[in-house]
Parts: sequence; structure tokens; C-alpha cells
Amino acid sequence: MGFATVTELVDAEVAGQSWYSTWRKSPSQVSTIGIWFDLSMSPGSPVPQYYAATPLVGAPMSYSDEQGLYHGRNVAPATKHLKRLTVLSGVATALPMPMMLCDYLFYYPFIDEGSTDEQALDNTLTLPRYTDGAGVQVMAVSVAGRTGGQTFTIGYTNSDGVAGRVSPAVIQNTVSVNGSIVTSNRATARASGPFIPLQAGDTGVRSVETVTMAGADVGLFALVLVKPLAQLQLRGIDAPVEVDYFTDFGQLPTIVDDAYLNFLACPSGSLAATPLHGDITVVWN
Amino acid sequence: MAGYSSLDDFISSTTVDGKFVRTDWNKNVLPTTTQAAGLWYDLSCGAGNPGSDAAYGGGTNKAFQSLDDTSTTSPGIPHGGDVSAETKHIINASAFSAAATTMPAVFMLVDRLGFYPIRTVTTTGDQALDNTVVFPTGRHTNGAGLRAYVVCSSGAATTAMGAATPNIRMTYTNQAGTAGQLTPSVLPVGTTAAPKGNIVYSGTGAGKYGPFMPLAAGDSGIRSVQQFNLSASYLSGVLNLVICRPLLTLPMTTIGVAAERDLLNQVPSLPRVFDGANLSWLMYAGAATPVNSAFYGHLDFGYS
Repeated sequence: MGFATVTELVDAEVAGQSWYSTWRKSPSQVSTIGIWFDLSMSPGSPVPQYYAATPLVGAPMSYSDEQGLYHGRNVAPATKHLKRLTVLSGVATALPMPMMLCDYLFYYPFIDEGSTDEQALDNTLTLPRYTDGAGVQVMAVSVAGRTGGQTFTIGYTNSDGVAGRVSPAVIQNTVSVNGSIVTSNRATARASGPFIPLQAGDTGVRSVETVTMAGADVGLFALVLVKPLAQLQLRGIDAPVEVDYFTDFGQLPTIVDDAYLNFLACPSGSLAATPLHGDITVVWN
Repeated sequence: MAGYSSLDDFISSTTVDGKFVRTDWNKNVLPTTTQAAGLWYDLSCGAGNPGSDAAYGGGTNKAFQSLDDTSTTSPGIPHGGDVSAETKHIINASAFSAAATTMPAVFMLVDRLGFYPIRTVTTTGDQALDNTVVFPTGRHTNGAGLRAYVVCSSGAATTAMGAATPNIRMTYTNQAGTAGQLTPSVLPVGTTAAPKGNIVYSGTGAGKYGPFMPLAAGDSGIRSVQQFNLSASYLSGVLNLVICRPLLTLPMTTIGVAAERDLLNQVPSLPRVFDGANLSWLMYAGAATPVNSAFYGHLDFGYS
């Protein structure tokens, strides 16, 4: 499984053990400069999803259920790897824009920001991939707008299986657009990037047990567990960004069978009416 | 030994020995309907050089017809003829357009091995395909790396498929010789009134793929296709199940700026062009692209 040599990689491609597929996201949301945004909630291909399930009950995500970027079918016992990503756009408003390809694993829907009680999350179901939580990160995605400015913490089990871990308090931004990462803000102290900071020493999350708002607000968010796979930067409209993860970075990120793939993006302006086109090439052996 | 053993060998072969061919091409996008953003198109259906396809849809219904570099009714981009026992490779490629609202776009060069014309588009359920003519030998090994796409060629009396959205499925034999392999769900969905040249299941939404028909889990190629299935009548029009080998892609963003691909240094791959290859472009339209918009470019080939 995998590639022991460059020759094996070349032979796999020559043998057709690869898949090329295009995608197109055409966001309708008026996103905000410097606020990370979840493109899985935007129109286009693949079709959007909205983290709609029973409130607070954890739900797994997979290609076979929610689709996401098409990366071909399962290949086990072989392993599938990301070979290349291309992104291009003809609209400059949101550029330059870092993007991050993630495997979306699991979500806890409709966390109520109006309650300052500790909210218990249901973990009857568990992570479908990366089951020990190694490298798994948590993001808070807005599904109903808020005033902003409140902080919250999450209680979780880390990737070593240690329960009762607590995140630092993270502050919410004032962006009301659904799909925005509510803890993301480049101009606010204690705001984070796309992911919620973890307790010191932790590198991944296996499950989230509780959420606690320090002060009440009016919004709703989903907590989403993702495995970041790859990054790229769409710099402008004058050229596509093409990343070959083998020749450019000397790595071939693994894509687990039935992974739900989609992008996070940090736009420099509104994403509305900014079609993003791209392709993904995977290879397996 | 065929192929290049070193960079010195490459330079000597292309310069001292003159084993080098440059071909310029010009293809217009489809002549009848504005190309919609987010969809894939088969530019063999457009005018230009090489000329527009006149083979799709013809011949015995559901019987495979092969294509090669001598095909006159569906010509490919010339690449200099056979070189066996040596091997031929693509060294450089370029594409550009000066036509308004043609960008962004992605071009994909494919070797079309042939196609199954399907004129019985009102028939639902499995339709047996005729494999009396087999995929051209010498351009694949047991179907490894071959892909399939479905394109509308309309027909004399119509300019598009009918107003319907059937699911599309094929039953095929994979590269390992396993028969009965099926297009997995979610099945590709045909676009209503898909115009000539459109890959009918490409686009935006559930059941949309681009540009190729999904294969079953673990499959990496197609030896032959046994059945073609529409879940509902497509009402009118003509489909073609095309078998091809993808060779390279060229993304472009800017009108008047050439997309250039160096396949020796930039993307070290030197895709092989087999004797008889029928080279043609598929196009992903990133914007509504006016009819007959012209694209130009070139391909450099070397052989040793």
C-alpha cells in the first residue's frame, strides 16, 4: 500500500490508478475579509450541506452520505493520496485567499448560544475516520447569526483518549453570515484561526462532550471535527494556482476511503458572486 | 531502448536527430449554443483545425467504432504518424484565446479510442452494446487508464437532447477483466436539453461529475462496455459513449495570455502518445462562453 518509490508512483499513474475530477463553488454568502469561511455550505458542485440534524447529537460525515468533492470510489486495500489541486477564479474581490482542504468527519449541530448552561453533546456515534482523533481539529461554523463578542469553551476527549480536556475561551466574531467560522477574526484579541485552540499539549480531538457559553447571544453554530489535509493560496485572477503535492511539497496526503472533502477559505473580501473553479487529482496504490 | 534514457539523450534526439514535431491547432467552441459555466464540452464537435466531428452518432447503433489519427470524419490533432518501435511523448503544450468571456477555462487533452453511438435514447433500462470492433490495440494495456464520457451529438433533426434528466449507468469490464462492473451511485444525471458537444452529466448539483463517468470501487480502467442504461427516456437526441485516455490538463484564467505546460521540467511526465492516437480537447467552461469562440495553441512532440 502506498508508494515506496517514485517509480511506484509513476507506474500507478500509467496504470490508470488515478482520478481527475473538477469542482465549482459559487458562493452566495457575503463573507467578510479575514474571516475563515466554510465552502461546504456554498452552492455549486459538490452540492452544499447545512449541518442539519438533531440538535447536539453528533453525526458522522462521508462521501456516500453528503458527497463533497468527488475523489473516486473506495480503493482499499490500496491507499489513496492527494496528488494535485488546481483552483482558479475570474473574480478578484475575495483574492488573495488561503484555502485549506479538509476531510470533514463529524459534526454536532445547532449549539444554542442563548444558553449559558453547560450543553452536553451526544456521542452515541463516533468518528468514522481518524478514529483516535490524531490531528483532528474542531471548528465552529455559524448556522444562525449572532451579535458577537461572547466567549465559549469546549470540553473534549483528546487523541490520547484523555477526557475532560477544556479549550481556552474563544471569542465570537460579529459576522452573521452562515458558513463563517465564528471564532475567526484577524482583528480581535483571543480570536482564533479556523480551529478552536486546544488545551496545552493536545494535538487532536476524539470527541467533544460539552460546550459552555460565558454569556448569552442569539445565534447557533455547529461544531465540526475535521482533518486538515492540504493548503494552497489563490493569489489572483491572472493565473491558476496549481499545486502538485509530490513535486512541490514532497508529500502525498492520504485520503481515506469515503472521505467527505471540502474547502475552508479565508477571503480578502466578499465571496458572493465569486465562482471558484478547480480540480482534484488523486492517485492510489 | 525506446524513450529517453537521459536528458542528454532527450536533447540529442530532439535536436541532432530531429525527432521532434510541432503541431498548431485551432478549435472553436460549440457552434449552436453558448457553453454554460461549470460544464464540460467535447471540442471535437466545434469547428476549426482539426475539423468538426462528423462521426458521432453514426454507424451501427450501439456498436463500438474506433478512432485513430487517420480518421477523416472525426479527426484528431496531427502528431506526426507512427514511430514504433520508438515511443512518442508530449513535451510542451499551450492554449489561449482572445475571445471575450472565454475565461476561466480548463482544457484536457485526450486520446479518443472510439465511441458507442446511442440513438435509442428513448429506451429505458439496459441496452446491450456491440463490441464486434474492439478498443484499438496498442493504445492501452487491458484498458488500464481508460475513461468514458457521454456526449450529445444531437443528430440531423435536433440541436440538443430532449427535455429530460435521466440517470445514466454503464456496465463494463474493468482493467482486471472483471465483467459486470457498474457505475456506482450517486448515478450521473443527464442535463435537460443538453446541447451538441456537451458532456451531459457534467455541471452543478447532485449526480453531476466532470468529465468522466465514475467507475466502481478500486477500478482504474475499462476493457469494454457491455450495457448502457438510461433510467428514463431522454425524449430525443443522440448520445455517444466515448472511450478515451486523458493525457494532460491546461488551466487558463486570462484572455490573451497563453497557458503553457512544460511536461519535461514543470510537470515531469512526458505523456506518451501511442501510434494511432486521436488527440482531441475536452473543455471545462468557467464562464458562459459564446458560440464559436476561438481557442488556439500548439503541441510539441518528441520521439526516441
